[in-house]
Amino acid sequence: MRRSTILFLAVIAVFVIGLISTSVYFTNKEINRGEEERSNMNMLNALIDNTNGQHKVINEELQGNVLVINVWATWCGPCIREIPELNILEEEFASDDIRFLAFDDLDSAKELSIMKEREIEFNYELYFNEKELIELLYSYKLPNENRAVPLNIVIDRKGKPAFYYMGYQKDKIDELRTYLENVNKASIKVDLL
Amino acid sequence: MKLNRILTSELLKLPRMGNYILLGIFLLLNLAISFLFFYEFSSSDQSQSLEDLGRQVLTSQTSLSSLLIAIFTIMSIGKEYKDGTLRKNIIDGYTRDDFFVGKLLILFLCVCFAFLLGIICLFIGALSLGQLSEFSEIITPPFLINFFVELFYTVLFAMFLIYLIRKSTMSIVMYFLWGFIESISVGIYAAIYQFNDDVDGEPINLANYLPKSSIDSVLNTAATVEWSAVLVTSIYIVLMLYLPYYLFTKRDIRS
Repeated sequence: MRRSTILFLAVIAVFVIGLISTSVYFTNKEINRGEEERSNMNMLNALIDNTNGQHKVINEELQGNVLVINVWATWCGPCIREIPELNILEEEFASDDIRFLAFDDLDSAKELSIMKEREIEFNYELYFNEKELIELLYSYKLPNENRAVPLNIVIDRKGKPAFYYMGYQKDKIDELRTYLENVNKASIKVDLL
Repeated sequence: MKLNRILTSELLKLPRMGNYILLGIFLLLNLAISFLFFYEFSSSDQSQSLEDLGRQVLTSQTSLSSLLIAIFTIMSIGKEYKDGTLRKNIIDGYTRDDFFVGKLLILFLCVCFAFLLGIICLFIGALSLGQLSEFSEIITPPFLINFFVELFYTVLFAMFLIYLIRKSTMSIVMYFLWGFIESISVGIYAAIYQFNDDVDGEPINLANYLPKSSIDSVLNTAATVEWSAVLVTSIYIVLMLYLPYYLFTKRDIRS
């Protein structure tokens, strides 16, 4: 192998690997910055402000509560698939200050009849015709995230998003369970004090 | 000087009917993608974000351009084997190193050309549909880098296949088959993981470790990329540069 050929191949390799590393570095940096900004924002206040405090459920009364929000629809396969697991969470953790809310942008009569027909039981508090609120919830999606249904958001007692993810993700539901267990433990401690 | 001569002769080989057809298909399909996406975006209710549009355009354009440039690479080197021009070049006083470097350089120039054409096609689509501001927003540095790198990586992979197999048709079939097998493997692995409750822990991203798919995982702008994946892709890049050279210089040059 000639020295000039080695040099040429090395230059090409360094050039391409350099480009890839640059792209990965800036993409990762951008994603991490976006995630940090979102996790530090007060999402509940932002939602209340953007709906002028007029929404029937997302309003000042929810301050201090943990909100487990799900955006779904009956046409969405992954949404239907995660419902049984979400129902278990709801049964275990729902309380006056841990609210499980589900929003669907379609008409209630149509959706409820499909639910009845397909025997879909969803234990969350169901709200229909929520197109505007749903668009608002998706507006917190980061530029790198692809919009998808279902959307699951958990807002902690301080109003900050503890979870924000799209699509059916089994491991995220496990993480959600751990999070809610910790929330419960913390509540018991506060009560004892 | 010798390299200059070989580059000149490589450039003279480019105006061929097969290449013109590939170029025509490239232009036609890239323009179609550009018009389709910008038209869809301009007529939608803007619920689709520009970032989503950018990713969709990038995915479609890179998949299509990569495929065409892979065919071009395979045909260009395969023809040298078939016509016996490799042997003739060596008789004319070139070394195998000269030929290999010359070919790689000309392919690099072709990648640059395809890259520019791809961007121009997008620009034409955006200009025609009055979406120039959207165009300028989706043409970000990561978009440009990813488009270019994906094209060049495909050329390296196609080069590896043609120097390995030495027959154009078989190499093109292998190119498709390889992609198909990798996709199936990733799909089967994901299905096993998803439906098998006995499997604990985070699933590894199998695509990171496969030669053809690893570049897609690394250039993914939808999630953070692990540096280990970059390392794996870098190893593949080095291998895809060295192995074709090794195969070309150590084996017979007849097809």
